Amino acid sequence: MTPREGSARAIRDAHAARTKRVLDTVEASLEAIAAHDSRLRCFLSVDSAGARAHAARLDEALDRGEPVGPLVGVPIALKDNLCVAGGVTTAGSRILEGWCAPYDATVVSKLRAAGAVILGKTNLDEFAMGSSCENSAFGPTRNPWDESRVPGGSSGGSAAAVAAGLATVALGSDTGGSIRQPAAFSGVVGFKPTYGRVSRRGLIAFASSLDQIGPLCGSVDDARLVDSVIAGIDPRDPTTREEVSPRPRGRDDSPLRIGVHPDYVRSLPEGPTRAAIERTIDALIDSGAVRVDLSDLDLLTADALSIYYVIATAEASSNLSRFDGLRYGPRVTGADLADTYAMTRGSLFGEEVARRIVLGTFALSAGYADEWYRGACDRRLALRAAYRRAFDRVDVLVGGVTPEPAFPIGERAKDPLSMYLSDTLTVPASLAGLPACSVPVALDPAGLPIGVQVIGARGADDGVLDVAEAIEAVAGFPYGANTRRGARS
Amino acid sequence: MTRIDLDVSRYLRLARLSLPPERVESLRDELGRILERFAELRHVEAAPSARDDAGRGDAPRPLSKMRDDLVVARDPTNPLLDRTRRDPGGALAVPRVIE
Repeated sequence: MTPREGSARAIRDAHAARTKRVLDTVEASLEAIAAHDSRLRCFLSVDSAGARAHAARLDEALDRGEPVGPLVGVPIALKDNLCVAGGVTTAGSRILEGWCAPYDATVVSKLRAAGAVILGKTNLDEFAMGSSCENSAFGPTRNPWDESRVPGGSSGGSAAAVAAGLATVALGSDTGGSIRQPAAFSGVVGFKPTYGRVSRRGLIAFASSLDQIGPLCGSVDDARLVDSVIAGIDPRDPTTREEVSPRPRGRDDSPLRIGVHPDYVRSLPEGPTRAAIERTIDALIDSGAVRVDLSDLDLLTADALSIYYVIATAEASSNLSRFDGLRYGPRVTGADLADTYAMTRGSLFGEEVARRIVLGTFALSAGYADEWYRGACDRRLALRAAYRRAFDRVDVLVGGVTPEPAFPIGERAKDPLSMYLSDTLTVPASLAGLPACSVPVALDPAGLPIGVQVIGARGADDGVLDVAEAIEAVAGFPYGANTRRGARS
Repeated sequence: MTRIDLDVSRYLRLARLSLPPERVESLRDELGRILERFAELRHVEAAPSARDDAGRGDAPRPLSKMRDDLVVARDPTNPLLDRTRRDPGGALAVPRVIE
């Protein structure tokens, strides 16, 4: 297969063949960042010197004919909740402003070993809590397709950086949809692997039983390439595991079974998003897949949002208790130690983070934990069982990522509940630990991207990417159209 | 519909957060609406449980400040979760209940 122009695979092939120098590739990215990022605000920090130095070392290694990694010279952006040794890692929060990570996250080590060149750290909703990138303490990122709109969140900076052509690929983290939703809003591919496939060591934790790192790219092939580098067992993350399910059918004699559930299609409001999803499913059927109606199954979609927000905020309230002004970042000094803790946290956490910490503290507190937290854990197991039953009957589920395209900046900023509701279609795969991929398939009449979601059984990551690639082929979403948009000034 | 009237000050204290009074008020309102909506979504409501002296939910368990019954996700068919249950320090262990 000939890789697409501008893709990570094409770039690394050109470097390996010495038809292009790594330094030229990196300079082009840095120039694009200099030209457009003051407007888009995808990056919180750019390591120009580090990127150039790494590029020069790679060029020297290539010139000497030394073996190189599968991402040699590919410019990559990292969500700013991933630790890079010696680099500032803020998680989009004032409470970590200026804090330098003492070590590389495992995924960062793997990317470096594969030859990827790290450009910088991208904006995010504070501690990855949000769906619009507006909750960053450092200001919102703008959607390259329409700069008056959000790029989605929480990995909004990563999605917008790829969409605008500032980075070839980016890493994000997905706790309840934070890779897939911004990918859909920004017209790029976003892949959330099976929980446990990619090490979380060095990812600043939001909700440990849900967090997962994954790529945002211009194509499914690039997502597969990055996934092949970052996946695998990590002895320093005991939740990593090898889990491989058979690839879905469709490549041999038996047809691919596409599960269609009304929660992911028919329940969406009538309009361009729903029409694009239905057209995509029809195109897959025309290509030889079999449609399996799952409307007799209760996938607990109505429950998923509240299960998610109870569990995620409970875990967040515990994970974020470490940020007290003593061990990390700046401090607001109070009358005594307890006051220092409370003043630091109260002053430096943003509104959404404080809201979720209090919600999680409530859900875990004596008197309410049985009713809320344990109830949510029990319902989470029921939800997982429901998806297991679905995948007994189908190879993948195909449906929407979000009920509608990107919304205007500020529209939902003061209404947290309406913001939470935009996660309705992404939280179920997170709760069940399933692999899921968002693929751009169309533009709505306003020129905003629409994504389709493919969800697979645990461990069926390769199969999910196979089907995503098939969707990419039938949809014909123009690779690079997003980049052209982003290059407008 | 379940009317949730949060004692926000209590949870701010437990969470070690100091917020201005006006923010405490707005937080009470926001969280009340969020929890009402979640309860509407039918799942997390359980049967009424025993109340403590202040009329809040379950009576506190007597022995420890931090409940020692570490809660873990339960799924005997899942080796990962099963392993986690044997290993209380495993990363899938979820937070202890705050007294």
